[in-house]
Amino acid sequence: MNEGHAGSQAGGAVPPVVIHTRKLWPRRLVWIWVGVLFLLHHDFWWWDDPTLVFGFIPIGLAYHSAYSVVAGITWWLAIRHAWPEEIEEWASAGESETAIKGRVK
Amino acid sequence: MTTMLAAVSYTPLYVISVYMLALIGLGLASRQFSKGTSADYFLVSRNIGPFLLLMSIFGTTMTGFALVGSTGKSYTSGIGVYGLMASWSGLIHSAVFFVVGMKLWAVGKRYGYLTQCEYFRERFQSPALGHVLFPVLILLVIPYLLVGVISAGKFIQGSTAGMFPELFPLLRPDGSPTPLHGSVPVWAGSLVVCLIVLFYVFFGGLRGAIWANTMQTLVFMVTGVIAFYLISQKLGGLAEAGRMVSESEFAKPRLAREGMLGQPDSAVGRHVSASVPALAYRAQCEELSPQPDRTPDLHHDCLVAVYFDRHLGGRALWRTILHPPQRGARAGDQGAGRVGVSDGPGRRRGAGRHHVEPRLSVHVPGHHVHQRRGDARVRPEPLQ
Repeated sequence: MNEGHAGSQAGGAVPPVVIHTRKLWPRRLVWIWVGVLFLLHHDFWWWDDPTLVFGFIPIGLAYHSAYSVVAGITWWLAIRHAWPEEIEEWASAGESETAIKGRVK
Repeated sequence: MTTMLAAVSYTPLYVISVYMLALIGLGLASRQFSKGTSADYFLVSRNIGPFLLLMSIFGTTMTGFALVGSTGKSYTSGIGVYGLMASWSGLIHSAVFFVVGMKLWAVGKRYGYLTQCEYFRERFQSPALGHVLFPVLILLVIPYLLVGVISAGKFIQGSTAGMFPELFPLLRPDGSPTPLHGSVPVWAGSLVVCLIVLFYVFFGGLRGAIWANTMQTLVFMVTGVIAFYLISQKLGGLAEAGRMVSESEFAKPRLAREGMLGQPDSAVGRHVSASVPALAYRAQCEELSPQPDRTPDLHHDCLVAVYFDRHLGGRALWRTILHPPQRGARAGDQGAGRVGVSDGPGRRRGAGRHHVEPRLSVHVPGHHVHQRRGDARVRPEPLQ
């Protein structure tokens, strides 16, 4: 498995964070999709529409409820497929090094 | 006044009393599980399970600002508040957690940092920075804490109206009672709440706080669903409630967001900045758990459910027809209170980027009324 390196070794005290490249594309997709969701949040096409969905939910509220569900699914998928495990590994590997204090990126 | 007193039900007072006694009981019970060490008192021996962790973090996020303030804001400004507070939170809070939160947790775990001051002091190799940051962070937290205390006091005040007319009279100059006549004043309610929190934290340590948070989170989520059902039934069902809102002069503009919200452009910045103290709390909570919290999506789901319930049924939109504001009262006075939120300038399409609508300031005894010029939204409307 190819691995890339990120982080720095300031003063030689901090080992690098190893990023698993199999996680790179899921992460890129997550952030691209988050950008799309950012744009979709601005639902100006409903801003002056008081229509009720199912007879009781204002359409703007229904849209943002659905949006919220999509955002929840997005982060659920992000946790499953793009979780930064290397950061967990980095943190766990250095638990015994609590005496070391250095610059961390 | 006699008629008003005869109609007063003391049930809310009993419910609030039982609730507070339960919190005291939790504090005492959690003390029985103490191992008698400082690590157990402050960090629950770093062994909190995922359910308690989620409930604790979520319950801490849902302060008076979210439960009382945002509900009042939806009452006055309509459904746009959901987009401002809930769906933005769902996207931005989790994103900030991924970008900043994980790294903050990792650095804290690796180097044993427990506070933000420790991190910044070491990061910049500057003890002076730590000394400066400490009071700044404390000062920034105080308003957030006060919002919770004030909203609790306001909630108790509204719930106990008319119960203690001799002890806490609140009369207009002409001698007629105000709507809050005989209620427990905000300062007294806030003081009682502070003492109870102090009690269960002092006796139970962080375990007591987490147990209390979990109980309170479950209570407000379950009662939110019950309130949603009861209010819709009182209005004749969901469809009937929708019809009444559509036909209500006060409520109808609140079915859409145009012109009802002020300065939404800064929402992203607010959420990012609001995420930072929440992250610090999460990072500290995660010190309690052997693994980092992987529940930002569950946290978001809980948040969305609560906001949806509060903004549509709990106390906001449907309440606009159950309790439309009367002339001589602020739009939020009969709603859920107005803690930590402000109407801000109105904004209308084609009327300039930040068009500040002219307002009339009207002083009547016991009230300070802001009314927009020519705005019919504060017109009294009888319940059909």
